[in-house]
Amino acid sequence: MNCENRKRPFGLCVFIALPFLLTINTGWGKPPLKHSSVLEVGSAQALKTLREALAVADSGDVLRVHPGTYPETGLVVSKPLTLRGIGKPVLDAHGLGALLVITANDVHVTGFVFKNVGISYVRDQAALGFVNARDVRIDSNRFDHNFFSIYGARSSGAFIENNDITGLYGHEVANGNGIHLWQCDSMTVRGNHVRGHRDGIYLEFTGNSDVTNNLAEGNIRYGLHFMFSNGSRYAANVFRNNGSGVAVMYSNKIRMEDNRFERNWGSAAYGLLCKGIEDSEVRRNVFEENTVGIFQEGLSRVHFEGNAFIRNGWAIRILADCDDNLYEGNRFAGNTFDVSYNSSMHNSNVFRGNSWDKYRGYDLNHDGRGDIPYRPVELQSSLMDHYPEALALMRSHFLTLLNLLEKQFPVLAPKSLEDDSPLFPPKAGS
Amino acid sequence: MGQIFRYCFWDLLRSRFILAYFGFFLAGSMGIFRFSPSASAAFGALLSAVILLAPLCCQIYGTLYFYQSRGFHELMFAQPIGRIPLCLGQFLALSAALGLAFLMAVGIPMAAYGFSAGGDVRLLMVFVGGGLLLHFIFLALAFLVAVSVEDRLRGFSTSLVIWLTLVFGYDALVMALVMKFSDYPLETPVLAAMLLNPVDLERVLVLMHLDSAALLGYTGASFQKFFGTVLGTWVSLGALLMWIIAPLLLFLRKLTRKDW
Repeated sequence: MNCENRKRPFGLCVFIALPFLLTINTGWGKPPLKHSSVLEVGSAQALKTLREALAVADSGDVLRVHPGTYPETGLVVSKPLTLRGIGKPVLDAHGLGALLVITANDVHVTGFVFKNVGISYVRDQAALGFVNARDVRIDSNRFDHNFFSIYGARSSGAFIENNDITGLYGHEVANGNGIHLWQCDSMTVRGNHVRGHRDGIYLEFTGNSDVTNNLAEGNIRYGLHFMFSNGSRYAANVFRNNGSGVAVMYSNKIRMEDNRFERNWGSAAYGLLCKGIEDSEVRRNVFEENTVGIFQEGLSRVHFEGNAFIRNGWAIRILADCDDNLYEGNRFAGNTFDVSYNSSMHNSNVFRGNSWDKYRGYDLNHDGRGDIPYRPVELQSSLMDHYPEALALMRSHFLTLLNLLEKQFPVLAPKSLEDDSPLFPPKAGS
Repeated sequence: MGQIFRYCFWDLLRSRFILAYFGFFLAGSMGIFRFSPSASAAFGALLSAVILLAPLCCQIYGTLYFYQSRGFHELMFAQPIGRIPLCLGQFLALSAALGLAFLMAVGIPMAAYGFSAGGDVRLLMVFVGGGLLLHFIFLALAFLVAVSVEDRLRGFSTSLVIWLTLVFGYDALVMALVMKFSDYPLETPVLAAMLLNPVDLERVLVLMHLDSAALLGYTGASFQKFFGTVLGTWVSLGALLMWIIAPLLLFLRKLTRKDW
């Protein structure tokens, strides 16, 4: 009681003082308009170049940059400013170093075209970087032919939205990442389109972040690459046709929802490569036409629910160091192999209530569940896990024969690896 | 020989077996092309049928045909015509007839459903060319069996054993060896093993051109490296041709030395 009485006036104080504190310190709030002014930049304006404008601008100013090409490198934004491109002005690095680096909080960059940042094997030079910055906002820009496009480090709370990013294509050694975030926190990456980079979107040590509604296609290595980034969520993204798909490694409490993983096809390509993931959720994703839908190594307590695996080589490859994962209500259709598992001894993963197009059971009591269990690990796929050279015998009639035998007398896959309440796949045509 | 070929060929085209063979393959490939989601899937399914059934049919019918020509042979041997032109003419006629049946049974649906192998001419060539060569190989083996084994029952069982060995047994052996020597790098030995069996060779050659090649991983990559080269193409063609020439030469040798 006593305690609360003392606290309340203090909280009230902070509440009232907050806008004043903020206006004084950062110029973040709208009210102090007398401080913030609009600077026009352009060949026909008083300020000819962005460099001049950045030098004279005060905190809180808005720089309106008019159409034209601005050959620049090494610009630094060290004050909270708004950089607004009018009619898509072009910042062109002409193959030289980095274009623009943000070192202040609350900077907003919108409506620009960033071009031609050169390749460096020494520095990770980017078209637009931000370092030690809070609440940066980067939206509706276009990035063309840059080594790295957006590069954030040791920052938090940034919004990276609706940017259109095209990389260098070419070889992965001479190519940077589209959106690269390192040691950041609480980032939002939304609605971007990334292609032709090494990794489309790359997060390392970047926790509590949100990656949603992005499209990453045709990147040389991974569409999304995600390491040591706990508590992040990625949802409703499309990852298509990337060199090796999407890689998620060494993170826990991750949520992956409603994404599409399409056409990651090649001898070392995965829809989703998961390694060292714990306590996470993978729901309602679609994996279509990948060599391997999900490759799983060292996964614990991950819940796979309501995903669809369609026409993949392997829908799921599980290494035996995965434990206590749950696969429920997923749909498997048209995959060459549904599940492979590389041990015949131990298994603590649970499959239940999935629908399998290869299931040939019956439902006598009409509860919608098959009465005999489905065993998703075919002899064929376990053999090939143990002896990869045996893949040369794929589609041979000898293996077909073996498969038939294994169905009757299982020996290779652990007994516990079965779905004891399989759903019936939807009827063809429905 | 030309006359024998012509006579036998036209005779064969009217035989019920060839018609049934043609009809069966036609229906099968029609169905496959009609219901397959993609050209790759269609060729995959068709491949399974071809490497299983073509050897079986050729082996059985080739043996049967030679045994049934016994009367014809005895009649013709009295005429001024050598054994070799006579039997070689028969072999060519049978090869041409079965080959034609196969070609049309596969070709008509492809034309009808506009499957140009997804634009992949090499796949088409490998599939059709390899399929044809498989027919010739197993007919040659069948003639060899028929001329070497006098007793028909034993002849048929020998034919079946050859078919079983090449389609199932050989792969089982390869599998066993792969398991036994799994500690060693096996890409090259497995590749060699695939080259030595015409059924496996045809399967692998077609597989390399299908989507499923990506599933082969590292092994597939080394295969691709071999079969992708000009040398690889010639070596595999040579291997298939050896499987025709060797049994045929043996057959002709046995034929000339046989005491009827």
